Amino acid sequence: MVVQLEPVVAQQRPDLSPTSTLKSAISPDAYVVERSDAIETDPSDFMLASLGDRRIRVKRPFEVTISRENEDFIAYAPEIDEFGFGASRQGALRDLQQAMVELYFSLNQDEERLGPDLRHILEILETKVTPAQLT
Amino acid sequence: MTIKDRDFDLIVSKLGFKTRETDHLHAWFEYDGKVVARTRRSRKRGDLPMQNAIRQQMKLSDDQVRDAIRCTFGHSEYVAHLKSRGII
Repeated sequence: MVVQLEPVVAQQRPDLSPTSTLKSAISPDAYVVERSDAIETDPSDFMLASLGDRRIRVKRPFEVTISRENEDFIAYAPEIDEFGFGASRQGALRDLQQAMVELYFSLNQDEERLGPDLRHILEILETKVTPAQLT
Repeated sequence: MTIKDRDFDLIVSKLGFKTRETDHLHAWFEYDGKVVARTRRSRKRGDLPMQNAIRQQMKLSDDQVRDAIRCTFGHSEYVAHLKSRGII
């Protein structure tokens, strides 16, 4: 199943600087609009089709697994070996989205000097996401 | 073998990771001008969630994590390990 988060419409060209404006670029609304029925119906695996950041558009959704580890919820994206955690499923998913956005920009920033493993992760990310265009 | 927040901090320091703090503590390892490993931890105290993923991101085995905490696996051993795995 695909969890489509509500699109965030960019009103101006997004700031693609690595992380300095990360928080301001993320719409709080984008965190909480995943279909709760989708999460509840299948709590373990789904496809994530938005990173909740107006600077990035998802071209191909990410496989995400949600699990429980003690009192934490864990959201894990195995294709890029990234994870998020939180006190709720939504919190874990939001943390994962932030981690993926930060990962994308930081790897892009260091693109010329990535080792093979991180270059491979960047290549995967680039098949799945693209900088958002002006609207 | 569990990794607590203070263990994580000790490991990244001993192995020579650079760090940056946001909502999380981000750590990355550079060798010869290349960024070869990256990981992060939460600000949560005590046992860290997703320890297997953290170990995997750092390219470490459970034993190596244990040895790093005991300070018997440091920067030079880590570099040798990464070379043996063909990562650097």
